[in-house]
Order: sequence, then structure tokens, then C-alpha cells
Amino acid sequence: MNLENIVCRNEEKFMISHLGDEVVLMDVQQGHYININPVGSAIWNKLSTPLAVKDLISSLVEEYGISTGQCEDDTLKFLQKLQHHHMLNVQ
Amino acid sequence: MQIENIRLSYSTEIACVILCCRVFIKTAKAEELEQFAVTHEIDWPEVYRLSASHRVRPVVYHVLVNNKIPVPATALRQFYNYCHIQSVFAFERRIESARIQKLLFQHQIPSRMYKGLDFTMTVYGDEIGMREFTDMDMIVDQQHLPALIEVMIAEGYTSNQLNYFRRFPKHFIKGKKDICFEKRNANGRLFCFEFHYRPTSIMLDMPLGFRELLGKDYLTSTLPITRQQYYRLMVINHGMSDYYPNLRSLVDLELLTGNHSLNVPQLLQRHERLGKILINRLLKGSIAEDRNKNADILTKRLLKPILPGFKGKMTMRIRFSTSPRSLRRAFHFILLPNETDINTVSFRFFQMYYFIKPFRLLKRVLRD
Repeated sequence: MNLENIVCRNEEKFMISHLGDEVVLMDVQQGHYININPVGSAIWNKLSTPLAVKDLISSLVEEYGISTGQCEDDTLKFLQKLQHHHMLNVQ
Repeated sequence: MQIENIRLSYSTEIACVILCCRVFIKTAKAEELEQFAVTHEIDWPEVYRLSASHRVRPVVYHVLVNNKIPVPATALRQFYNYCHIQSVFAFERRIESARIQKLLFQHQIPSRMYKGLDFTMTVYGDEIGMREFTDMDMIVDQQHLPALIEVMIAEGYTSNQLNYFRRFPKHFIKGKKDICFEKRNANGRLFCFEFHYRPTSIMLDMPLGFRELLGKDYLTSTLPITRQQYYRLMVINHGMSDYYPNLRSLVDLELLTGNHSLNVPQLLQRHERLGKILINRLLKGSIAEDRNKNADILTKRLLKPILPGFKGKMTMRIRFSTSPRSLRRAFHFILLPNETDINTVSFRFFQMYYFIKPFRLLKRVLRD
């Protein structure tokens, strides 16, 4: 995955519940639960519509006041995790 | 009722729970709650306990977190833990409900999801964990009960009503409105199904069945139950059967109604009116005096630290009887034997259980 990719969350196989600022998902086919922490939930919420990874990072840098380098690292790791669990569509 | 009046007359904690419900349904602003939390000393474990007895823990937690209300971390954690379990369990129950419904369909037993999960999805905006519920409810036809029992037993479910149904099937169908099953899953969580063949107990003197309330295709329709249909069902369920037992019942009705123009048949109108008065007083803060003796009793009960049990419900059932016939039915309901009586002693004739029920009831009333 790179900064030019367009990403969008994939909800098809999941049941979702919002717990305050966290999100809990259940993979309906596998029966696994996934908890997303508040920052991850903020990313998850932004991915309701297709978005370029670089634009996602820009908005997070602005929102959380962190360095672009750190944000890129953390966000790409998180997006890869989502992809691993089939929670992300990547173009 | 003003929040300050509730606080002074009852407790800070019940006022806090009610204010959270008001913020949730948008009849109060988050700033008011924030101000309340800052200016009063609140016993948060008591707020949790009251939220639990009113079955509004997810609502209260949602409001506290999303509006960043200053709450001690330990108290918030208690809400979080419950809501997390509730969400996960709701997921599991949804899957199990769909599986059982499919299984019943394969056995030519039509069924329709109702209340619980289905109601939550319709009214709480797809937020499956936002409404506390325990049972999975389905509508079935009473003629399918024997086949349904076989299916559920084969799936490992048990019921303490089987003895009653098998020994006195006609009395069971006449006296009960549903049959209940339960099973623990591999994680030890209890799945409870209620299969309803009538919206209320026959003793409530309610001539409307599911067919009248939902239409001729009430079992086979693939359309979701509409708001209008749910409104009638919930006035029956929360109002007529349970006399608005907790704040959740009022939040349910208010969310259901919203800006929609919904109505109920004439025989439900006084129960609807009672609900509206309670909503106006408790959830909308109305200060206009709407005199209603039954509403006064229920308002006080909803504001007290301990919600009424069996005795309270029975008192309301008698109070709400409008004719000698319905009063007779209310008393009959009280004395009608149930599965507990039938599982306790083995009598040959059903009528004999009428002799032991009063003793069991007396024991329960004294305990309440």
C-alpha cells in the first residue's frame, strides 16, 4: 500500500457497534471480534467514502497535530491491519 | 418535571440518568448535563445501578462519552465493560436468531423477528448495541408449537414450560402468550428465545392478535415491521402489559414516535395517553399539570431507587381494570397456574393447581 492508493472501508462481512469513541466489529463469517481504539475509529469513520491515503494522512496530521512522518507510519500500519482482516477496499 | 425538582425530591443520581435520556432524545442539551455533572456531587456507581435497572446503560454511556461529560474513569469503565459485552452479545444473538429462523423455515414453521434486535435496528438507527435487551423474540403461529419444540430441543435448547405444554396444551395456549427456550453457548452466554403466538396474555382482555395488528400476512411478509405497526405493538407491550416499567420503555416510544404521526386503536388509547404523560413529565420536562392518578403512581415508581416488582405490576393490573369482566380477568390472571406450579407438584387435573398458586403468590408478595 502506498500514499496514492484510494481506500474505503469494507463493511460487507461485518456487524458494527459504536461504543462511545470506539468501534466494535464482528466478522460474521469468521466469528471474530475486532475492537478499534478511538484514533483507529476516527480513521474508520473517515473511510466511509473512498479517500486517497495521502489525503487521509493530511487530515489526521491537521486534526491531531502530529508530525507527517509519524502519522504516515502509524496510518499505513493501521490500514495494512484493516486490509489483512478484509476490512478495507484498496484501489 | 424539572431536573432540579427531581433531584431535590428523589435523588441526584436519578436526575442524572433522566437528564442523560433527555440529551439522547434531544429534549435537553449536553451543556445542561455537563453543568449538572460539574455542580453536583454524583454517586456514579449509583448512576450505573439506576441505569441498569432502567435498562438504559448504553444510552447513558453514549451520552456521557460523546459529550465528554466529566465522569470518573472507573465509573466510565463500568459502563464501557457492560456496553462492550452487550454489543458482542448482540452480534452473537443476531447470528443465532437468523440461524434459528432459517432452521424453522426449513421445517415449514414460518416465523418473524419482533421486538429485541429487530426493534433496535428499526428505531435506534442500526446501532445494535444501543438498546438493552435479553431475549430474542419471534412471532409464530400456535399451531406450529409442537413442531417448533422438536426443532428447538434438537438444537440443544431447554424450556421449563415443556411439562406444562405437554400435559395441558390447551390450558397452555389459552393462558400463555409465548413459549420460551434457552441455551448457553460455548462461551457460557445464555441465549433466550421467546416465541410469541399472541401479543399479550389472554387475561388482559385484548381482542387484537398479531393478524389484526400486522395484517393477514403477519408471518410470511418479507417487509420489515413498520413504525406504525411497532407503535401499536409497543403500546401493548410496554404500556398495556408492563405499565411502562422503566425509562427504556419511554425512550423506545419517544424514539419510535419522533415526528411521525402514529396512532393506536381505541382500546389502546388510554395506555398510549399514559405513556405520553410519562414521556412529557420525565423525558420532556413538561411542567404543565396533566392530572392522571395512574400516571402519578407510575411517575413516582420510575423515580424511586427500586423499581416495582411483581406486586407493583399486579396492583396496576387491577387498577387498570375498567369493568367487572376485566377485573375478573385480572384476578384470574393472578391465580392462573403457570409452569412453576406445574413443575413443583404433579396433579392430574389442571384445576387442582389453582389451589396451590395462592400460597406461592403470597410467599412472593411477602418477599417483594
